[in-house]
Amino acid sequence: MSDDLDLVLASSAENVPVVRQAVRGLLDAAAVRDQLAGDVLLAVTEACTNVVRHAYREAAAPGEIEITASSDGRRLVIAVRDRGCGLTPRIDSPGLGLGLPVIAAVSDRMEVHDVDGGGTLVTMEFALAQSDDGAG
Amino acid sequence: MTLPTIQLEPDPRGLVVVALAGEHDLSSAEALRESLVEAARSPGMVVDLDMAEFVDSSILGVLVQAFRDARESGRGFVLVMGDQTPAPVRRVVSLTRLDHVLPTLPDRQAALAAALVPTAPVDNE
Repeated sequence: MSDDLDLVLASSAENVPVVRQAVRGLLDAAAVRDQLAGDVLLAVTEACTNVVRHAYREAAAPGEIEITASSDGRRLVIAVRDRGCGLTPRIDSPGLGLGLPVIAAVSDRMEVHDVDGGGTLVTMEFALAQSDDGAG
Repeated sequence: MTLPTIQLEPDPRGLVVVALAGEHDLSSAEALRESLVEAARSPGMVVDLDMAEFVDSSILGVLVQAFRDARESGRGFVLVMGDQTPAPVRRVVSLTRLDHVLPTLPDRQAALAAALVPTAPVDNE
């Protein structure tokens, strides 16, 4: 499986739609059906939003979001990584806390890990098997 | 990608419609929050999602806060979302069950009539 997308961007709100647009290009090229494409774009947006909101909140300057996407034709795997503070509780969270539950709901598989060297890795997997059935 | 826009449209009855178009996420969440604060100067507001092509949970969080503020201050707050609303928007609202928390009606005119009444928690089921 080769990398189809490999992006490193500054962790900023303005870059969230930039990531979504890049992933949309990948989905369009693969003719992924509309509803699945919508779910992928939602999940990626939520993962990047979590990075912008939480990962570097204790850092002197915002860090980066690293996004990779790869597909073998049957499944699409997207990973969103930061090098921030890792999985830590936050009692002053600015959001509803729905980001990860939404990702879990729309993906076929999701994993969240602290990673060596600091930061968090969110891996999302989507089955592409129905991409040519005309649904959605 | 369609750029996000937020339009405030006054209603003759003193209400304000906040109409979202395009794709909204964290990059437009603060602008939406400011628009909703502006709209909250009226007796009631309607947030119309019919032209919104994408919203995420950060936008839903802003809407929930506006709903809480409206409820606490006795102002009307109604969301417009129906069959004509783009599927990705209906999808995330349905997934998060916010249509069971926020007062939601399928068309703007009905929403404006409902927004004349101070907001109270509702269950749309």
